[in-house]
Amino acid sequence: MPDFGGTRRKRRRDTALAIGILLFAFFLLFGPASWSRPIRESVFATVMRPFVAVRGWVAERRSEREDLVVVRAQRDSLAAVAAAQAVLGEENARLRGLLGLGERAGRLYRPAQMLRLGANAAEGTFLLDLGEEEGVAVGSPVFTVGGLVGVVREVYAHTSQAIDWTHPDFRVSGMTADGRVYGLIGPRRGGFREEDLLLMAGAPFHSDVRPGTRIVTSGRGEIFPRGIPIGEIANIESADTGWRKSYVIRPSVRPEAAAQVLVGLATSGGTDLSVAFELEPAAREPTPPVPTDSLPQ
Amino acid sequence: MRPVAFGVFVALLVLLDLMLHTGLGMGGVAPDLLAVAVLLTARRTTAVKVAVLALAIGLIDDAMGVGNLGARSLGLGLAGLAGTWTRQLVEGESPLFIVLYLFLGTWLADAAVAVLRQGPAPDQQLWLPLVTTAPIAAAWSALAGTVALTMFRIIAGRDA
Repeated sequence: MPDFGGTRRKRRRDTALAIGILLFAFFLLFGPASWSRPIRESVFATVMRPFVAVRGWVAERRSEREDLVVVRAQRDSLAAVAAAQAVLGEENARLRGLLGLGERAGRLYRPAQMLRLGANAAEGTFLLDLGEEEGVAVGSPVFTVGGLVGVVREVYAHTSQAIDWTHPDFRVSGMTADGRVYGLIGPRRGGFREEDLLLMAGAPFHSDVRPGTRIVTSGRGEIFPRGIPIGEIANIESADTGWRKSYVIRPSVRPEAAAQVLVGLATSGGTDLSVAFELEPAAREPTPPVPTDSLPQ
Repeated sequence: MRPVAFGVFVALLVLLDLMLHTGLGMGGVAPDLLAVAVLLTARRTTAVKVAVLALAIGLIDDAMGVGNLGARSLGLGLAGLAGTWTRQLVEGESPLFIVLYLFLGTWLADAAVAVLRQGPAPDQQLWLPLVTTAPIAAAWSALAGTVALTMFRIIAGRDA
């Protein structure tokens, strides 16, 4: 057997150095997020670049093999959503003109390819093929024609990383489609990933929301536009106690099934996409917006 | 022992893992060859070299997520350090020992990463995947690692 450690003293020094290296990883894990960011950026720009490029190529080839009718239907639906937001944009521009305000950026959303990286740490996250240069910002909402998918958390030059609704940090302010009941929505972890659902917490105790009721974004957090479908009420959370109710939501979109998405080119709070998703716009609350959506840390 | 040949073997394992998980997006279907690389290195070199390898490939793997880096480095590092200590307990590398060693090592690394990522308030659902899917994934990784090591020995010679 080879002599790996040499003398006893050398072995002790070796073990101490190894523990020191692990301590560095420990401080990185529990230290501020700003310590991790430059390392992550460097890894993405160097080591991972060819692998991410391969992932993009594979996703492109895969989408080419998909049923053309399905792809066309998805694109048409995305175009409908984009057209609806263009009407809102025109109205917004007219009102801004009346108030004497300057012009805002033209497009609010752009279609993007969603890439799941499959790495151990990438659970609940995905990569988008749009970045800072294309106008994506930290906090940009991500959704499909079916409903809400997630929110952008890290932005690079031409790519960005986002979390989907299964990620433990995900939060969105939601309401029933008629605007009667509001609550804060986050993931509800199942035993296995396929069993993950959403939980709307903080609904008033007197509220009685029936199973099957549609839940949409309320727009109160100033991150997500109002009116994006989140899911349908499945049942009341059995563990709920106290003066507020919590409802389990069956999500509209499973992140693993999404491929083509729309990305907000900034935090899109203030806009209403109810019409785009064929919902009756709910009356706005008189109270001022409270920042409750997933916020960049 | 041929350290250069073994270094190339470890580098190939890392590249293959990144290609399967990230490049092809296979996720949990692909074996965890990063853990296999660290555990096999732990049987052949010093603790500090294992810790450096675990730190480097752990940071690369963690960079794919959005949280703080370091969990995977720590998980792999702990499993790797435990691996270096097994040298004092077991000499030789029979296929049966390697399968068992890689299975336990990968499972330990997975468990450590899951606990570290949860932080001080662990989710109640944390333990279910650790006793259901994680052992299956560890067994798959152990099998793949044993096959890879056998192939390496055939190509590089028995003493490698």
